[in-house]
Amino acid sequence: MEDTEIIDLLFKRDQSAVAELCGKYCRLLKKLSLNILDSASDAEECVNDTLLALWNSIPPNNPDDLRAYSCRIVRNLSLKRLEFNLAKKRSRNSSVSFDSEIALMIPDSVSLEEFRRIDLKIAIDRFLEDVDPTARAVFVKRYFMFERISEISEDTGFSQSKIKSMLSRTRDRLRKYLEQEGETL
Amino acid sequence: MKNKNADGIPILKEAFGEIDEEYISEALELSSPRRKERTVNKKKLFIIPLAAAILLAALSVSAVAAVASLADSETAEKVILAAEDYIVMNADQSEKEDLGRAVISDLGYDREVMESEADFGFSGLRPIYNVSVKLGGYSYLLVMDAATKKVLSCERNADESWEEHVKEEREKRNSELPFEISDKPNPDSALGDLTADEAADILLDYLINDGCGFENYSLGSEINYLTDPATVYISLGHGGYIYHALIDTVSGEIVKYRAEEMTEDSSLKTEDYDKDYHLHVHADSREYISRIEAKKAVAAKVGINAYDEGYWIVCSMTKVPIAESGIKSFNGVSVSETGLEDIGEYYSCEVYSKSADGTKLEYLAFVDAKTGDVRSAFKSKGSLTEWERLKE
Repeated sequence: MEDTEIIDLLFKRDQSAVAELCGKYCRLLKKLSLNILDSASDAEECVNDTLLALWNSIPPNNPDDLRAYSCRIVRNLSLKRLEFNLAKKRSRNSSVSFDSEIALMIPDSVSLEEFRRIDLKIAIDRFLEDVDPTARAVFVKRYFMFERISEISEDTGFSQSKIKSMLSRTRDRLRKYLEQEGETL
Repeated sequence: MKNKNADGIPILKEAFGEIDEEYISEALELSSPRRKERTVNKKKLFIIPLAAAILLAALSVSAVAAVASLADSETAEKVILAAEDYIVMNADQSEKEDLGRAVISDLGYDREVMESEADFGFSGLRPIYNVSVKLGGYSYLLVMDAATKKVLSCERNADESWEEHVKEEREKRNSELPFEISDKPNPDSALGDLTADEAADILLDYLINDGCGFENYSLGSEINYLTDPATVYISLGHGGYIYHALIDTVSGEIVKYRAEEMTEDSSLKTEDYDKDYHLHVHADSREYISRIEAKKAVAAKVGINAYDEGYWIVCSMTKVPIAESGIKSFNGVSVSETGLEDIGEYYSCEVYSKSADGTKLEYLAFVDAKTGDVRSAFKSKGSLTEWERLKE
């Protein structure tokens, strides 16, 4: 079923929309959630919560891209779940590797806390607009979808070292960009 | 991990969750047509030794049990794939080492693993590997999911054999490295983020910036634990010369550099690097202008000296015609304004001014990579999105 048809069903409050949604995207959503969480059952819960969130948010929302919209929701729910698990010491998740990489993008001279959330979103989107499309997709796969280097390598056909190199360059550029943006605040 | 702004990590992680849906979709599309379906290699099953076949049969029983209890065909597939992996793991020691490297890379490190061992087992119904890895003065004991290769837990302990290893390596390397190295290795502080491949990129970038137009070269790189902080030692052969560099794994800066000429009798003769000579040697055979030439052209266009230390010029070459690249604008300058629409290869350049307060983007310029013509240049009007075109 096309995404527009699923959205139509959601607008009509037809519960078959959820089954259609799950049939089409649950596998993708679970994979994304498992990239963040180390528990299949937690990932299942996040996917279920995502379906509920989609049911509750459409309408009034009418996303242009249902797949990306769903991915965003499951990512954010999974991160919240991870935070909860770590706070309760229920998980020894390996997200440390992502944290160390994300730290490399934080400017030295500017505190990100000074950015308003909307400013930071605009700054990142504006930065990504000028990044080469392939490098941008690799960046999004790593830091939005939390995919492993080996997965991205398999998906794209690039060597792992090339992927690391692309990410390293994009990280450096983003850090410099945020430094400059921060100075104009 | 750099703890320079730990509070920023969750902020940035959350901000990445707000990335434009167009980019998310783009990333999803990147994988769709190329993803290879991972299937069980049936051919391999016919040639496995008897012992492995028995093992596989035993695991298949587990797989059936898993299917029965979890009603999840994926679980069965993972168990069978794990059995395959187990056969491979037992057949080839190097696979264990590769696995160790992959695991360490996942944890944020990327350096030579001193020793690596892996054993297959189960945790409940979940197939796992117990992996032991030694590197950088520590031994790591990891449990990872055999099917997804995801690290489930990690324990780090001091590695008592490390100092002996460093001593042996140091004695071996001291006679080989073309540089002097510091006296006291310090494995505790010698961990940087730079990979050997990234270091190679830095050396290449440095050489290309000096106009060499490197195309065919041989490259060797390895982590050097013996300096503090650790460096990557790179050697690169090209055009009758071997270039050596030590690159700091923390800052990414070249800390030592030397070029040696390969003489007729194949012995090495050390010489200071002569960039003008190399520029002359390689200029005629190059298809594109070098990056330093692009920078010089940009500097002339905006009215600064290319070697002025108060400025920093960054040029990157793109070989995809802009119409096919999907690029819509550069820092707010639309593609139609750049003058690049009719050419296939171009340099996009940024000129930063440097001061004690940091760097500031002052100019954008776009250069035809074949002819060296500066197609357009823009001066910042004070923000990163508003630009004034420089006159012809």
